[in-house]
Amino acid sequence: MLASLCAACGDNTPTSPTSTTPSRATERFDDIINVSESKFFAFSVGSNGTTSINLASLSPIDRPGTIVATLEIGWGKTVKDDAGTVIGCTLSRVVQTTPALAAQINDTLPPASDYCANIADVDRVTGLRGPANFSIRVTHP
Amino acid sequence: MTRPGFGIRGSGFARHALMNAATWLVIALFATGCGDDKTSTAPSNTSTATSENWSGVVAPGGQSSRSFTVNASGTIAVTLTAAGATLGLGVGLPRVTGGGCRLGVSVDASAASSPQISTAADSGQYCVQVYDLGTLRDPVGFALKIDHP
Repeated sequence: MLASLCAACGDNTPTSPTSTTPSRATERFDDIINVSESKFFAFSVGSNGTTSINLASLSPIDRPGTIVATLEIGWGKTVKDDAGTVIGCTLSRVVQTTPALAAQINDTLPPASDYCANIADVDRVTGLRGPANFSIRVTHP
Repeated sequence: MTRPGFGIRGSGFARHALMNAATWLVIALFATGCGDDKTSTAPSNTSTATSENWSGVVAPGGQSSRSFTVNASGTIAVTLTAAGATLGLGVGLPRVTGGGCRLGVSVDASAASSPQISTAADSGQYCVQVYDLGTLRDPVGFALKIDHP
């Protein structure tokens, strides 16, 4: 018992916190989306951690400013044909959102190379009235 | 009757109690012997608030933009502090090519002392843009302040 008590009075040297934040990458997908259209983009996740998807911008084609509209964004797994060409995106999670500068989706995804981010104009009431520029950011480990 | 070798009169229960008391005394002494670990290290926060000032000129039908870096998640606040007319004011992502902004937030703004835009943002590269709303006949000057993490 004395031995264990002596061991309990240990070295009082403070331990500095160590950073365990893995490196993260941000990918940008800029394109034009038309009324009732959807588009997807492939991305990979290198390690465990939070993947963030952000519809950051929705803007007019022909003038500065922003467009007020609700679009659907989400992520899923790519679909490939027999030749290995990516031909689609099977969605696992979607949210309907307006543009913002903070991520609308923060999910933990296991590492894989066959993810896709999707954007779609699905709501005829609050959706697009015409084509729009959009920017999506995907930040992942 | 006194047992040989023991100066304590009593039963085995009494001896047991005495031993327990001695044990607790030793534990108490060791516990107080453990020093004061007051030199604990708190995690450091390296994020600091930044304020940037910028001024420029917007021509009729034109726009002017500037990029900045947000080092941590937080709030971006943009204040159009001086302007010769009501102007479009927005925050978004810098275009990958060709300069300019792809705006995520925008307002029609006149000069004021409080932010016209205050929006949550993740860390990353951003831009602020001032643009003609289609009302300018001559170039106008402006000044603004950007506060961000």
